[in-house]
Amino acid sequence: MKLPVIALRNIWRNKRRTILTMSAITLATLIIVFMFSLIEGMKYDMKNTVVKFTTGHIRIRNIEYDRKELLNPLQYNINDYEKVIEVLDGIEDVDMFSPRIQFGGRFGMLIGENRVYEKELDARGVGVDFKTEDQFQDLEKYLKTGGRLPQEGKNEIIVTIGLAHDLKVKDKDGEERPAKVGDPFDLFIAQTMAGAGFNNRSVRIAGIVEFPIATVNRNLFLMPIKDAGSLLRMNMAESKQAIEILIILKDPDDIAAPAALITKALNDADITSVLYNPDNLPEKDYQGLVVASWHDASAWYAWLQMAEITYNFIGLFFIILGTTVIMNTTMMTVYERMKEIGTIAAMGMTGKQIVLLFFLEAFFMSFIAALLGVGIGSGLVTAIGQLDMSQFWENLDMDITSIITFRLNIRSVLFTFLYSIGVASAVTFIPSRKAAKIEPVEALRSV
Amino acid sequence: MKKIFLYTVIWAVLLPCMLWAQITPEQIIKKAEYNQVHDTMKSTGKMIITSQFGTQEKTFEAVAEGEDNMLLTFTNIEERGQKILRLKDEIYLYFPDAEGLLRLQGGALKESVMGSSFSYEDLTGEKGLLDLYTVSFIETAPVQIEISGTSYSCYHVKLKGKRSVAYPEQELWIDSNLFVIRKAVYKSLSGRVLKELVVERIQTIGGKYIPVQFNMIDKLKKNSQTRFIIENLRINVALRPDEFSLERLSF
Amino acid sequence: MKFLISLAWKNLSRYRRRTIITAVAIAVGIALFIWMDAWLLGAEMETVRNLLQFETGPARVMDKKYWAEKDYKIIKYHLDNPADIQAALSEAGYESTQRISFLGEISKLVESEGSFTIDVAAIDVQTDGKVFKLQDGIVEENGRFIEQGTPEIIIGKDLAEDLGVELGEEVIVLTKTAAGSYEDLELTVVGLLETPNPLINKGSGFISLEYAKLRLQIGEGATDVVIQFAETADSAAELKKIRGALKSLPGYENWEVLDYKALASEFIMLAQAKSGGSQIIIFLIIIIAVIGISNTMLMAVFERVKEIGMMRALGMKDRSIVLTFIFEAVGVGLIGSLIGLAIGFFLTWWMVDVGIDISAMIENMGNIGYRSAGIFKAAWNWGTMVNAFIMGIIIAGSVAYFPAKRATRMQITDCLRDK
Repeated sequence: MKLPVIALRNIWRNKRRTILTMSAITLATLIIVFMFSLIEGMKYDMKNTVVKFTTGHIRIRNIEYDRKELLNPLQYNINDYEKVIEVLDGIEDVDMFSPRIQFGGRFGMLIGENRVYEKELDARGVGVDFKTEDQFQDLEKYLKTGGRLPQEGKNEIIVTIGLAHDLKVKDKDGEERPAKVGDPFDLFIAQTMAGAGFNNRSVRIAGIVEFPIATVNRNLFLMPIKDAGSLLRMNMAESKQAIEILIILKDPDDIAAPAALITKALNDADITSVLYNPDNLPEKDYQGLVVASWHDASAWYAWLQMAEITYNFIGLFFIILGTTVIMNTTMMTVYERMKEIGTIAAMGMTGKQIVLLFFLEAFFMSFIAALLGVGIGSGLVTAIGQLDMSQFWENLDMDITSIITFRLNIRSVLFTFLYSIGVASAVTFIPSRKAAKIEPVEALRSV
Repeated sequence: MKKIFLYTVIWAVLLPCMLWAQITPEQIIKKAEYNQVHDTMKSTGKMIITSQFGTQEKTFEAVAEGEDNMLLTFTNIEERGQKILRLKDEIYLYFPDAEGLLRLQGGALKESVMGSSFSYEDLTGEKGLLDLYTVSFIETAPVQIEISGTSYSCYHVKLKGKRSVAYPEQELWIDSNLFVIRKAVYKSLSGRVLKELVVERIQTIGGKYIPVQFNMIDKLKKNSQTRFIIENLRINVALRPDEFSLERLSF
Repeated sequence: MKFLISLAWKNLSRYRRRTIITAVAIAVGIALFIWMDAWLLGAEMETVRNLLQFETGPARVMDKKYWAEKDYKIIKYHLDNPADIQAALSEAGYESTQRISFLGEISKLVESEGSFTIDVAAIDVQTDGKVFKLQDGIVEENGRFIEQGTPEIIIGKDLAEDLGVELGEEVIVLTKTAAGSYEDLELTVVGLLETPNPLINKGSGFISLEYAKLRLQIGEGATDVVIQFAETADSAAELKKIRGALKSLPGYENWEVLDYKALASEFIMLAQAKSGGSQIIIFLIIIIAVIGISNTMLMAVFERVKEIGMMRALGMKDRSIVLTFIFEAVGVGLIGSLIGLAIGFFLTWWMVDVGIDISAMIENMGNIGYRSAGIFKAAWNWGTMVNAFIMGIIIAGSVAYFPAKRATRMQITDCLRDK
């Protein structure tokens, strides 16, 4: 009698036990797949945030700005960003770029008696070139209906939902309501370039945008870079100034080579640039641009790596848990069948065959169960794609919209599949070997 | 002295102490203060700001009434239409591109006006010097100081703050003939020189002497000074009744 | 009832292997749950802790007007009698320290290249350590802490670099006294701070409170009295107690008493924006644990259908049978929960006391700007432990109910016939 056939028949024979065991394995596998996708999603989200909103893969800045970053010294800027972009355009590895000016501003609202503001709100502003920024940040995708991107020279801005929520307007009945598309506010700048004093200008909301990251949605607004420059008194009429240019590469894993390439290309175009090397910093009196990979440019990368380690730990937790469940279940099925073991031993089956038999049973069951688990898990993840958690926090402020992305990672799916089968099958050895050694009589007696 | 740069002090009485042989420091101050104030004043002018970032020139029109009210309207390209309105202790900033008015008070007054060596606080001020400071001679006889190549005879007096004043110690050189402030030095509590004011040109008008060109140097920063040049000075001009009202700011 | 319990107990020892395996499953689930929760809590607290130990402190008493213009830190508005406030607090059982917090423009005394506006805090060298951990920020090669009553200052290391100032050199700090007069302080840099808080490292300086009182025309006043309580305490409750203790003091109506959440509201909101991720993680852990437990419980019941049939045939009431199984399950749950609790306890204790030293990893990763963030610690969360313990028992018990009920509904003969 072929063992596999016996194994299959055994599986079929006691349906309840089989189903119970298989469902446990399926569920455990499913959850692990789910978990890993969640972890992948969180890692991806964090990386995405940092890269898209803070450092890009590569960042170009004026080195004096970097040196004096504390003061937000707008005068140390990239003098002609269009020239730099021209150079970048010609480099294969560069996918997208984003010239930016970041600054702090204060919105004045609810103009009341004496035309003085009743409320003020601090916010962070970024001046961007909407022609390229749309693609860079997928703006159209995150723009809410009813709005559009701002036009240059019209004092238009777009705000994130958190900011729109906090900006208040008085409606006809004198009630305060959050800002909507079309509402005007005064934007006050305390620190313009080179200590040129204050500036204050009325701006209008052209659109409201909701990014998938909570912290960004809190108090960010975007405006056309030239408008920002003039608001900050950066002499925009003369040249095209930006504080930094973020670059996204086609291949996010190879940064060093493109960075070197970019540096060289810029220098060839008569734009003094140096490649940032933490082990060999530029000379104290070097003036010009600095091209930095995001690994070195800021503390973010290291922080992300730490976070990644944390997440991997969490993944490990789940594997342990899942393993426990599988082990538990599978072992139990063997222990319960002691009498059966005694019977077949008495009928002449060798110890080795018994062990192999149970191994095969576990193998077949877990194969199907794990397949199911992985299949359902992957299906669920693909179907859900993104989970909008905001409905869980209805009573809390809109501030805390967290959209959780799930990302399927084929490698981890495969790993989980094989792992489950491996654990389930291997674990049968422990009880079955012990059982096989017992005298048949003993086994028959144990009930 | 704060008043000097924006001619906003009203003086009521001039003590007839010129007959006395020995003039007191208080009398000197009173005469100097009297010299600068008219009921109403109008002028145009320039503010040349030098800092580590280079030199900027701003032009303005100014209207002042008495001690408390003053309106500056900027006419140079970058700041055209911007206004600074001072009403006693408050400053309102008007920007033509904005809907509302910015009111500065309290801590915000420490900020410098457009990056110059003057702070908004320097523009405000309520009482006469004698209320805030005790005055004493550093030298009882006038001394000679030189400004732009010319020598002037001045009384050198010291002012010590009686109560909460921004500059707890000042040194003034007041012209012994014209009773006009020629030079002033502003110090911190511990005596370190923070700012220095030098009067470069004086105009006689309505029987009084008004400094029309003066330079304020920030002694703590490298290369940092602001020069005021006042042109087209007219006094006792008729003003609209709502000249200094908030509503009018947008015109 | 007693009979059922002892029956249940005997059954447990009969099926010892099953009991152990199930208990282990429960134990692992609970232990990991507790540990994970402690870890997440630790991470959350890390950010708050940073704030508490270096920036805001747990709570502060300030003059209302000072707080209203907190961006400018106008020391004209200060507390006149901070010593009395401290005394009242001490009676109520709180440690506290006085500070004068103001803004100053700092520049090198000789050959200044430029000035920065920084936060300056005049601290009471003796009591500051009761609330803040500044002292830890000075390591040997970076000088020493300031001494009471001397014209000394410690500044963040990054700030020193930006200023071009080294240990032993002098700086000027320009500020306004409480009377509103400009004053400059000539101070010697005696120490460079390296703390886990980048704001401190880049934009703060600390001087002696006694010295500041001499120079800033503030008499015996101070701008803040910073109050200490545990980071795990319920700050709303503490605030209430503190306000109660201070209510009777003269001038109370002019004071603001705020906790760190109000003092650093923007930052706190960011730090506590709970990522939905961590909730899901905990949820999933629970699910896996439940699966593990229920699976074995189910099997246990089904395998003993014959036994159940026999008991019913012998006259035992259905209800009693179900109860027995539930007691068994509770018993297993109890054992498992106890073991899980013990393991979870030790794991957490290890994490809290020793923590995981990831500084080695950080060094390899390059510039991160922090130093002591290298040791990651967890936090005790007794509530979770108790919950987990109870949950383990309850889940185990409830999961046994349904199959046991099912079994009692079958025909007795079917039961006996079951294989």
